[in-house]
Amino acid sequence: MGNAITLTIDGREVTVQEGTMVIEAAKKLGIEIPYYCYHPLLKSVGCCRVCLVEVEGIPKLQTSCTLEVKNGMVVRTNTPLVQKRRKGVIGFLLANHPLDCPVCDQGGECDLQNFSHRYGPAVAKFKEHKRTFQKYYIGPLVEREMNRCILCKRCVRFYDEYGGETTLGEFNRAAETDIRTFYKTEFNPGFSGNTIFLCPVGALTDKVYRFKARVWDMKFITSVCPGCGTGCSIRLWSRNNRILRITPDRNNNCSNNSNHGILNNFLCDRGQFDFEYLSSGERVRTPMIKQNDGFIPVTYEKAMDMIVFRLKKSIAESGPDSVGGIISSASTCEEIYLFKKLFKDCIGSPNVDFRSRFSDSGQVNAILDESAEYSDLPGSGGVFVLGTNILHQQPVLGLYLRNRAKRKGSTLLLAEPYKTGMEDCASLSVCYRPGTEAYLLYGLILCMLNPENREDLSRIEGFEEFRNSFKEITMEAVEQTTGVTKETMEKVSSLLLDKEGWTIIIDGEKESLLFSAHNLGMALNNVQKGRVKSKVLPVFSQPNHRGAMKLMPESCNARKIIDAALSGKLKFLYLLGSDPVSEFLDRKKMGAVLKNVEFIVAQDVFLTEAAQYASIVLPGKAPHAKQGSFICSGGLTRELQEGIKEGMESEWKTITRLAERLGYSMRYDIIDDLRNEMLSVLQKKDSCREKFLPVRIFEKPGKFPFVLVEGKNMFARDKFISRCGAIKFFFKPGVCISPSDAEKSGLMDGDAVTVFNNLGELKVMVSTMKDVQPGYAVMTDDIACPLNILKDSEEGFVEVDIRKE
Amino acid sequence: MSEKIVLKYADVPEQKNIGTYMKNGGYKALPRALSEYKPDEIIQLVDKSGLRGRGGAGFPTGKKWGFIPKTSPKPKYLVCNADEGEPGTFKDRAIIEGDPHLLIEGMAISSYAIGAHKAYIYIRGEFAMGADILVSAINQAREAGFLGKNVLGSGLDIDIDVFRGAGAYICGEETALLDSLEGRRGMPRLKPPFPVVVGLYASPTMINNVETLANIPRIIDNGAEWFAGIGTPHSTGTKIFCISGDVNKPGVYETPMGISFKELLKMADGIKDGKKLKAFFPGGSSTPILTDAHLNIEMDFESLKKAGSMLGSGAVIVLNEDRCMVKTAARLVKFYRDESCGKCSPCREGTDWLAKVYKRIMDNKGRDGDIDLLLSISHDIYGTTFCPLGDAATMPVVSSIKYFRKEYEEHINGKCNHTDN
Ligand SMILES: Cc1cc2nc3c(=O)[nH]c(=O)nc-3n(C[C@H](O)[C@H](O)[C@H](O)COP(=O)(O)O)c2cc1C
Ligand code: SF4
Ligand code: SF4
Ligand code: SF4
Ligand code: FES
Repeated sequence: MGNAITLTIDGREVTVQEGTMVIEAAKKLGIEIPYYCYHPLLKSVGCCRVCLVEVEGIPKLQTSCTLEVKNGMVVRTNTPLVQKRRKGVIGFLLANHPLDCPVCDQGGECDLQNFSHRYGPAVAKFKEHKRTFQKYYIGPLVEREMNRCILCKRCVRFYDEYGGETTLGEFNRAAETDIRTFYKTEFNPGFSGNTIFLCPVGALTDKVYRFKARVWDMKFITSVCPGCGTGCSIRLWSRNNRILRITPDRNNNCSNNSNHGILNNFLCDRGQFDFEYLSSGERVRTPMIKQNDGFIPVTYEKAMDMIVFRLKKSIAESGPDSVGGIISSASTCEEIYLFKKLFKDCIGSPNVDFRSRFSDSGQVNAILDESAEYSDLPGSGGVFVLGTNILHQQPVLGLYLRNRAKRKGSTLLLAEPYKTGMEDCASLSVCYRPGTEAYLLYGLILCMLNPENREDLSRIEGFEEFRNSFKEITMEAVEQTTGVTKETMEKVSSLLLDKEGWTIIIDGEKESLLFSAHNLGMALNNVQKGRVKSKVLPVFSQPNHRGAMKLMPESCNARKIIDAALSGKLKFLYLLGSDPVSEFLDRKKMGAVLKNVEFIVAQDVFLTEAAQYASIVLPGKAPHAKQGSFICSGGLTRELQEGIKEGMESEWKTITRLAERLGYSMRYDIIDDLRNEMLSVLQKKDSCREKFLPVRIFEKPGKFPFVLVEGKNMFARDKFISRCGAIKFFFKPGVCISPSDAEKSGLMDGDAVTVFNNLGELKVMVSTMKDVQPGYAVMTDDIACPLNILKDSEEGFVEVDIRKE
Repeated sequence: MSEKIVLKYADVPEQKNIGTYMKNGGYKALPRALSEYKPDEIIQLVDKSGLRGRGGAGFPTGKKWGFIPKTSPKPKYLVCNADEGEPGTFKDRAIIEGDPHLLIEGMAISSYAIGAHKAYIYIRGEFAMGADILVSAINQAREAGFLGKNVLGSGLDIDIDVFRGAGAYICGEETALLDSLEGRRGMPRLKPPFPVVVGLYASPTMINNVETLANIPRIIDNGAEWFAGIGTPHSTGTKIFCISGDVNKPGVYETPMGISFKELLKMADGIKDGKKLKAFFPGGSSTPILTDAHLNIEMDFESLKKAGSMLGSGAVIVLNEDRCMVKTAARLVKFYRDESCGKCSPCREGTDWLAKVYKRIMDNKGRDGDIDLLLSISHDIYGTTFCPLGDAATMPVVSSIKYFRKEYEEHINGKCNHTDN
């Protein structure tokens, strides 16, 4: 970090870090300097010229957003000359501005209004004809009104500094300059919503929020986005108990997240526009019981009586093992904690889990406790993104990494089974054959094995066993399996050895990957013996996966619960936010499993597919409307707040009432009482012994010609997105194959096909992409294309065939 | 007769052929520079000669070269600014078309001095012929071993490429030029960092005007003292003036610095049609207007600065008594308004506003208070813009009002009686 610099602004001394701009130093003193083009998240450009100040010893006025502080500098921000010129500049900006404030959505939070009011000219001297621009459509989320644009270029710079492709640019010159998408294309949804808050005026506004309210008629509450494991801070803006828009929470310095700049800067378009489901007519709003083939509403009392009756009956007749519960990793920590307590302590049943994908190991938690946190990222020597489409799995984390690599020159290493759009800013990117991660990582460790390193590694427990599991596998075999040459692997491993303190980012829902990454990090730490350790940062699609793993570390039982149900031993099943039919592997089997259970309670926001099998359905509160906490992928506790009030009972209350009715004391008046108790579990840390973990190696069965590769898309529809009109059509399900495979099978882009295997089949459209390797079929899980129809195992290879319809 | 340095052989037919150029003493300086001087010694020599940049600002060239960081791991570049966009300026063109090898030799020596292996000539798009001439001259020089790999056995590679601009005045500004050269929309960059440190492709880059670079071989040939002996103490050497407007013989005239305007006018054979001098731009449209009261002014950096104007690019535009100053200013304001790159608000909006007011005045719709309005807009632009183009746009406004306020009043009152309207 830089040295401390002391300067004087308006007669007061202030000390700041070297490299700080004068405008920021002034802010520290509480001195406001107006600005338009400057934005703390973007590089300074100095183009609006409104932030002028006088500096002793410099004859010309200086723009404080581009002026670096110097020791002994004397700055004046409010001299008559500054005031005069500032007025002039604001006058220039107002000259051609339409001043249509009464119908402008920016009204009330417009910097042009605010600064003009405070610093602008009292009378408009401009009496000429105002210029106008043509309107055109730039996409479904953002409205463009160029007449209001003040050409601060924040929107353009956002895409330059954070975006992947060049999206926006300035066209024409002089007073005719305007901001457009290239070739009048549309904004690619992904991160476009950020331009709305970056735009200081009403030139880019929110289409979903358009004309819905004035900002002063709304209130906001700070919460956390439930869209993925990133855990971004959001503001939920509501009027009359209805959420109208979501913005990033730029002022949130809560807890320990203020210094790395991931959680309160930007949002992805999913997180910003995924709230319309809240008012969907399909919401479950009261308890319901099954009658004939439908559900009829009942009171909470009646529903609770029935549940308690059946629960007691099952326990009495078949023992506590005959009841079980499955919760979702989108549930809050409080819910998960109580849910587990209900089953384990109150009922005495081992049958409780959240894992939709079967995996079992007691190691995971220890690894997680040693995992990286977001705060490790700024100090890490490099980031290695391995096998995750980060821009879609945790979009804002991806955006942060891209900006760091692009703008701050940090090292980014990519290994991925298909192109993800991060390649342009990576120091090195490698494409391997999908599903061969374990081989690739073994290959990297092989590359490191010079005599000296070998000695370091052999000392680690489990290393020989680890090697033995690859015994037969030579470097050539690794090359052949992964499709990555030895030279490339050597380049990767020497880059890895070159920098210290890697953050290895992997999909935390895949256990074998987690182990492989853990092994690699440990190998690096032992060979390098550096000051900064390499760590694994698991990423998750669900907002509270890390919390759920922490709270339910036990070797999991979901498989046992399902087996018990299938064999008829399970009599009572409580599904809280979990929908095994659409989330668990082997969809067809899941239907049969649930049919077999005598009594199912499903508590959810919507009538899910699993809920169709339920005897009783309880309403669930929407994540945007409940209290609770998540542990995000970066290990931080994130607090949810009620953006609006919903009438139904909170899930955690339901659980406590149930426990009380069973005679077990679970009395918390408010959520905080419960939180204190939970904290002791959350704070307990397992330490991970230095140990190589065994890695399972999978072989291709070779029954069907294509290997299924699971893609990610932030707009792929789940129960929430499919009910958000603004974004529900962004993702188009389909299967993507290589052009050569398409030609072989006589398929063309847009053909209707059936993708099938022994488990089931899916009818979708086919598309081709040259980045897909021959022999692979890329598909993304979506409500209209549920991949669990084709899958019965999470790891290893799932094979399919494709036939033309 | 005037003493010519740069344009000495520019009128010789076939001077653009390498053979003729060499017959006239060309390509002697380069081998001498390579064999007799260390790079630093050339920089010192240029510094001692007192040569100041001919692109407009008049910054001492040797001093500027000294700013190139010696230890940067990045490649260094030399860029010749041949954009020549300033209205009234056509001096660089005379060099390029008349004696291209002089520029090339100058660039080769300068590259050696600053440690560049690659140089670019950024030439105004409209100079298609000039670009062709340069390309073939460069090819000749390369064939003869003056450019390319291992120049004259020195072990150094020095090469030059020609890049044609696409017609924006702002691309003459050095940082906008670099953006354009990199294939972007040309707009000025934030300084610091200055191009000498972070320039083309983020590497140390020296940008010099054509005329500046064409002086270099002469300094090597004849020495720094010789050069410093020409002109005035602070404006050494010669200056190429391009005289246009109401004179009998518009054209390119090279004379020692410090010649009086009166004499210069004489060289151009006086005002056309026996009319009287009314005003003149001494150094291009971006320099404040002077009037017949300044007839004896010496044409060099300091004297013009003292008179409230600038030597600029040496483009002298002469206006006779019939010229309407409001129209003149209106025309130039329109130019700046159209050429504003659009980056910063005062220039983009201010020039547009000025142009709208001028248009109104020219359409006989002037209002009371318009003169003060023009002045107040100009004051709000001046000193607040990102690059000097915005300042330049105010020059014709403020200076024409200063000397010819009455004409503005007449205009607004509908009484302009200048014959050129
Ligand atoms: C708007 C603007 C236009 C300019 N146009 C030119 C030009 O056409 N040719 C030129 O040599 N310098 C031009 N300059 C000056 C250059 O920025 C730069 O100072 C010059 O090329 C440096 O060369 P010198 O040191 O040899 O004078 C321009 C400057 C501005 C602000
Ligand atoms: S659209 Fe908004 S953010 Fe973009 S340049 Fe215009 S005012 Fe700035
Ligand atoms: S990255 Fe995840 S948490 Fe952040 S806004 Fe997007 S969906 Fe929400
Ligand atoms: S002063 Fe004019 S030309 Fe220069 S940066 Fe500003 S808008 Fe562009
Ligand atoms: S805020 Fe400093 S120039 Fe725009």
